[in-house]
Amino acid sequence: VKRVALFSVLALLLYHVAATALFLLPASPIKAAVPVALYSYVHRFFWQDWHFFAPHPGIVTTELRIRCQDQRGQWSEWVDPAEDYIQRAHETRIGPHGKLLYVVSHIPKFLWTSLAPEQRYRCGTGVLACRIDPDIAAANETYRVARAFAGRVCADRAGQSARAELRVLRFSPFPYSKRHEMSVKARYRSEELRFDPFPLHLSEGRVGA
Amino acid sequence: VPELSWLRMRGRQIVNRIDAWSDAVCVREDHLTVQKLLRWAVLGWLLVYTASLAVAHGEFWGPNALIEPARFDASDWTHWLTRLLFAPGVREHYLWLVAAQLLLLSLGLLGFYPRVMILGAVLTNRNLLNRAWTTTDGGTNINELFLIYLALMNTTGRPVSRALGAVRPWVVGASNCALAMARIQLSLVYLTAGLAKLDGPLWQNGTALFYILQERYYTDPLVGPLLLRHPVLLALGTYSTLAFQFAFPLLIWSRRARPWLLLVGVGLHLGIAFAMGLFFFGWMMILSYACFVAEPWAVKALGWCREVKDLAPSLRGTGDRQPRAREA
Repeated sequence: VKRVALFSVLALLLYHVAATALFLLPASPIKAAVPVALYSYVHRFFWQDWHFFAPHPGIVTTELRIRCQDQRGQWSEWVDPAEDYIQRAHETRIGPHGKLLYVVSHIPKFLWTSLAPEQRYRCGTGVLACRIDPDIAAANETYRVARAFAGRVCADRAGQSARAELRVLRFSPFPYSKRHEMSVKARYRSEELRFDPFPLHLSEGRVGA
Repeated sequence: VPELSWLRMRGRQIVNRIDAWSDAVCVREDHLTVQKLLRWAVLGWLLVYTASLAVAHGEFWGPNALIEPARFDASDWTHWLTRLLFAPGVREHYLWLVAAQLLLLSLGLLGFYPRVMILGAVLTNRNLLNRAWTTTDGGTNINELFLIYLALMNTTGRPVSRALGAVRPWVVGASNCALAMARIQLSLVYLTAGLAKLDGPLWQNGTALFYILQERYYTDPLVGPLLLRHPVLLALGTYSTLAFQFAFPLLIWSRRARPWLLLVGVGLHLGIAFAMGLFFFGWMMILSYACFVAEPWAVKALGWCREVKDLAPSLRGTGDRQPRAREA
């Protein structure tokens, strides 16, 4: 019994190691030769997407800006809704703040990646600022989440607001060659996405609304 | 015939070796305390993590969370198992799932049917992670993988009962192999991360950390700018990270190098936890090292925990006695 148990357990272990290694391997002739069904269970139960800032660390920061229009038609300043979240996340390590920052920082990132370059128009020069067609934006799932977020921000900052507007900004890091000119406040704004203002309803602030 | 006797002797040697392996894998339980320590580390981390997020539960799992909901297909049974919080009529009751996860983890930590509790936690955790998918990172990932391996391990700290008879070698074998797989998985994590970095020009020229620390969301506003003033230090940090990730899967199997390697790893992940603000991720990686701790060290660590536990009631006792003395 001991011997049978040894061989079966070792065979399973080796199979699992091989399946994990195959799943992690980049496309190669070995991977192509093995049927996917043999290691597809790894994807379902042991999925991992571990790159640990590799090969290219995410060095471009994508940020959201929101401004609100009050009932008299007065627009507020553009606000960075992540500011408070960043401060709280770094002040309190244990608690929900770090993960809340994950949630709000994903909104501009996904908004940027989900709107393909061909969906952008009227792109300016210099800082490349493009507009997004309202119909295309309305069909975008992340845009709905961003609108809900804007609804909350406007309710918190300006009370009752009539309309809100969103912008997505991309900031590139300081190049290593210019490190001597680097300051904390100066940042390279490289690209921008602009959306048309939208009305805020009472239901705004709810993702499912 | 001399050839035959030589063959017989050789055959007996091979059978003896197989028996020795069978004993090592399916009979001996050399890592009972390590496995218990790993259960505490993995379940403890998840309990603290879930409780931390539960403070703002609606923002992560509620129907109005700022996270895109995924598709739910009622005809797909796997969706009922892992995407329960997208099912109509269920999503509003997400707090039951959070409460169930906290209860399962607490009972698992206390050692009440640990395998059953861990299996339950695997399911509740997958559902909660699927709903709050933008909050997942390497920490939640490695925790989930280790939960699955823990479900196969004997984490009670006591040997598997001899009354199991013929089933015992299978239970012990599965437990030992699950621990081995947890160790291999951790090594593969570092190996794949290291290999992927070789492709990146910023890792090759030593400026990766210089750029990473300019990322606004996850760089500590105090530590980041301070480190950015020392590019040579950052280049050394970049190459040390690469060196560590390649050294880990090779040298971790050497008993002499292991403690030093784990010490460097703890330093690296504390740096990530504090300088980069990836707090839960950094701690999960450090806690996952429990699978590489030597048995005597694990015994010491648990003994120390017991001492702290024993100290707590005596402290409480002193507190109780004081008011009575005053009353007297």
